[in-house]
Amino acid sequence: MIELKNVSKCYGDIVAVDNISLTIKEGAVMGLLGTNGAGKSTLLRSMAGILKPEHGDILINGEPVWNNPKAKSLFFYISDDQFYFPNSTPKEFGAFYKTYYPAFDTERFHTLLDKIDLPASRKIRTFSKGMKKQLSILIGICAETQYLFCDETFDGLDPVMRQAIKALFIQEMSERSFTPVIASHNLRELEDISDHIGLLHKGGVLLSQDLEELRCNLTKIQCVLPEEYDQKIQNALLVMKMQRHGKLLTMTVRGESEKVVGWLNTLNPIYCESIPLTLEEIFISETEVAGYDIKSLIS
Amino acid sequence: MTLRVSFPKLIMETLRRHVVAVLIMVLAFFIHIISFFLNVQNLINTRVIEDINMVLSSSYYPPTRDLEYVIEHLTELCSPNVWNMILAMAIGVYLAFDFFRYLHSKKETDFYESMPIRKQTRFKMLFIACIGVFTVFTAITLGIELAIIYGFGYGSTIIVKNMLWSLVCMIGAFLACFTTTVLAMVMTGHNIIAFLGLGVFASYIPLIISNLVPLYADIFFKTYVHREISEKYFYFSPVTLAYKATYHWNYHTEIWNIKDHWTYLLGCFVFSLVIGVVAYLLFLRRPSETAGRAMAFEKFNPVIRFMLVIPAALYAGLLLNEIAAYANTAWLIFGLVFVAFLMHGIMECIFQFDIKALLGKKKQLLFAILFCLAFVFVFWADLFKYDAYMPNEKDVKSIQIDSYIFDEGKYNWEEHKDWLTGDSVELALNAIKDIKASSNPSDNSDYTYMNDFTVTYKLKSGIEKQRCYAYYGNEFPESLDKLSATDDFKDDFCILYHADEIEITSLQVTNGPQQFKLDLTKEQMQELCEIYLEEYSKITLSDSISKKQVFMLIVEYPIEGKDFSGNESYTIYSDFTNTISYLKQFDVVSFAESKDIKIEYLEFYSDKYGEMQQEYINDEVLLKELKQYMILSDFMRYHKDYGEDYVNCTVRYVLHGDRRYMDIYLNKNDVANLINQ
Repeated sequence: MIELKNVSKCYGDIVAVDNISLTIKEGAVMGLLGTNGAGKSTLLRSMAGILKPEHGDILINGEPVWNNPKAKSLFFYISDDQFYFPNSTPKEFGAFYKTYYPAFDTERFHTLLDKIDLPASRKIRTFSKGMKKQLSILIGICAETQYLFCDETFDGLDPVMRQAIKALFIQEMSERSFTPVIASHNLRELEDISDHIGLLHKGGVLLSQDLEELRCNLTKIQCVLPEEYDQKIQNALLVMKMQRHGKLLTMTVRGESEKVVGWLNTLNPIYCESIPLTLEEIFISETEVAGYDIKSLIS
Repeated sequence: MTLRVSFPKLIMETLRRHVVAVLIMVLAFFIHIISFFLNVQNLINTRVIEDINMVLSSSYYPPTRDLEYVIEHLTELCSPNVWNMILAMAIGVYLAFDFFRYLHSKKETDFYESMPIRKQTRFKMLFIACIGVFTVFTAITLGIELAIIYGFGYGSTIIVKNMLWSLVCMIGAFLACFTTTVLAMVMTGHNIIAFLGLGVFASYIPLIISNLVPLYADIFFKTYVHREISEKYFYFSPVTLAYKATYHWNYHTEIWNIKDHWTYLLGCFVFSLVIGVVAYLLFLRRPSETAGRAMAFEKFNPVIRFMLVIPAALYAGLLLNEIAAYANTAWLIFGLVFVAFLMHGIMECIFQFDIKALLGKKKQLLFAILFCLAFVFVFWADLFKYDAYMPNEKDVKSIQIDSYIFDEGKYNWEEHKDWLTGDSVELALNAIKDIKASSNPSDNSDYTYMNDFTVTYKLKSGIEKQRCYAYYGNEFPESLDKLSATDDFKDDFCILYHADEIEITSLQVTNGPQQFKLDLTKEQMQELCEIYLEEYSKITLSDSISKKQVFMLIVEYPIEGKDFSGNESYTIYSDFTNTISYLKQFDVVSFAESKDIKIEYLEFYSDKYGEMQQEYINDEVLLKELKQYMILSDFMRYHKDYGEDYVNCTVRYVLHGDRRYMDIYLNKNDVANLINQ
């Protein structure tokens, strides 16, 4: 488990991370979402022990991360612009990591390189941006660490590759204790890969919740009902948002989908259906309650 | 369970990642070996040719070298030397830059800092990798070079010993520069700024700070005596430390010896230790986010800026003061304020990487300017009463008064100076007061400049103070004459007074163009010296100017620890009747007359056409007139003052069939007349 307790980090007068407290549980993919400058990278670099927070503690499995090899050996960090030695090949790079991560699975690394068609003996500098990102994820997986910190690593990966990586993550999570923490400014990039989402804004956490829980708690309904039922619906259900276009009523309601639809059917609507909510819609609904114009915070 | 990262593996991995730097170092050592081999080969072959020459009784080309010469130069080649030092320093800077360069890149910092090793381990790893690889390759290089020497059959324990010292010196020089560069890399966030920082570290104390006070004192204090920079400053720079630890020269030999250099060699290691520890502590505290910025520790920025702006402004003031012919102090202030403003702005632009920062931190700029002005004011107003200094007699242990007027022609060995003590102190202080009183003649004074007197006071507290007084007057004060007539005064600069400590090897007499060696027994030499001293001891300073000179007595004596002799000249005045009578026994007064001398030409430098160029005078009539200046008795006036009014000329003349050269001093006006004619 990764625990962040009242963590603050400043760059001169600029507060990049402001008193954040967050818990990242094991066995789930954690997505850190936020716009540019929200503090995602700073938070991730602080969690990786690169930056020393001015205030607060960052604990990985109970160990403080700052200058602590024991805690640092539990994660692998992939930055938004990962460094590769000039003229090195994936094979050499793997050998390098073997020195720092003695549990590094070289055999698996080579197998995975073959699987996703990355040439082990080609110079990394000749790789495309996407290939470099794939390589860094493979190294991260093969380092056999408990946590994998990815900073904007999935940006630029094609959907097929993202699914392949997701499959790899799932495989890892099923075989051993593995928790990826992925930071991105793109909600759609995280949508299909994350189990838990933390929304960062101006150095603080607006929201941190399991995606399933979020999805389960909110239901989007489209139904055709006369206008006189509106007040009755609002009184009976926890309506987050209600829009009417003529007889067509679109609502976002807190509660389980089946129960909500069941209750609405008692009103004999001409038409009533539950529609899946996108992550963006969930965020919009959740954060609007808190008074944020979330549309400007997520892309 | 976490697996432990192996430290030796980390070091090997680090070296693998810096293989280019290691290869460049190996190449440098390879070139060193080739150069060494060529030097040895050339030296040894020179001797072989010498042998052939001996067999063939051939001519002098190529230059003959004896075995001793070859061995001496081979030993010198194997000893610590400046070239080895430069190589070690260059590698030290290069390795530190290459291994710690990652600190200046965000990408690399993120990469390395996220690794599961402690910062302490990373620093040690980089440090040990650099020092280890340098030491190993230096030892291999010197080992190969030793094998070369042995291969040529010139190996000896001295050479082995010097090779080992060479290794120690190279490691010392390497460490001093390596740690300093590491410190510069750790303290900055950008490569160019790190190099600038390295330059500052290397030169700040021995070059910038050490000269500031003496230069200002020289401008503002009339009595300031410019002394050589104290050697203590050399201990604060890796370059001067390494240079002093390895560079060797004395009269005797160029072969390095530990006795002369151990303090600097030890200094290299102590300096490296201190700087290494500072670099280590700062490395641990260095914020990773400063990669790419100018400075890593922004809290130090005002101090660093202050430390650079102040000397830059003060030196700029000095420069304008030197250039300006009028209103020097006003120009000094202008230069000081202008450069303080400029330098402060430049530093702030560098710190912030923004040209708009030129006008930033105005309060700090104002403080820096005020500090500079206060510094100048201290000198201008002589707040510490430097020029007015005159010690109390009871505080003085001894005094030394130096002037070329006293010790003209004397070797002036410091070890023979026993200073003025006891009753002479009072006489000396009186004389100094009179000299000092004349130091500031009014503008309409008829007094002329006569001489400079450098006075050194050794106080009972152990402090030594030195002042220089320019004497203006028409004749020397009575107090100075009284002092100059004492043996205590004269024995400070006349080796003859120490004749019991030294063994005079020969005595010669000259009248200028001619010189005779006196064929005397030891007893006769001693007798002549005693007769001379009896008459010389009565001579006052004024006498030495006014009395007529007839000859010079040249005393030759061995110098302890040196392979050459020293000599001193003593004037024989016309009223030294006893000395002259004694010399008459040896027919040395029958010098050639003017008519026997044929001057071929007079040579001197002139700036008649705007730049210095050699001038020759061949005109026979003019040259005939020159003879008066050559005979000792006639050109004694130059003894009085041959400052700016006199020109050093060389005369080529023929006497008794021999072609000779002689330096004489001619009045500038006389020379000008000669040129115009």
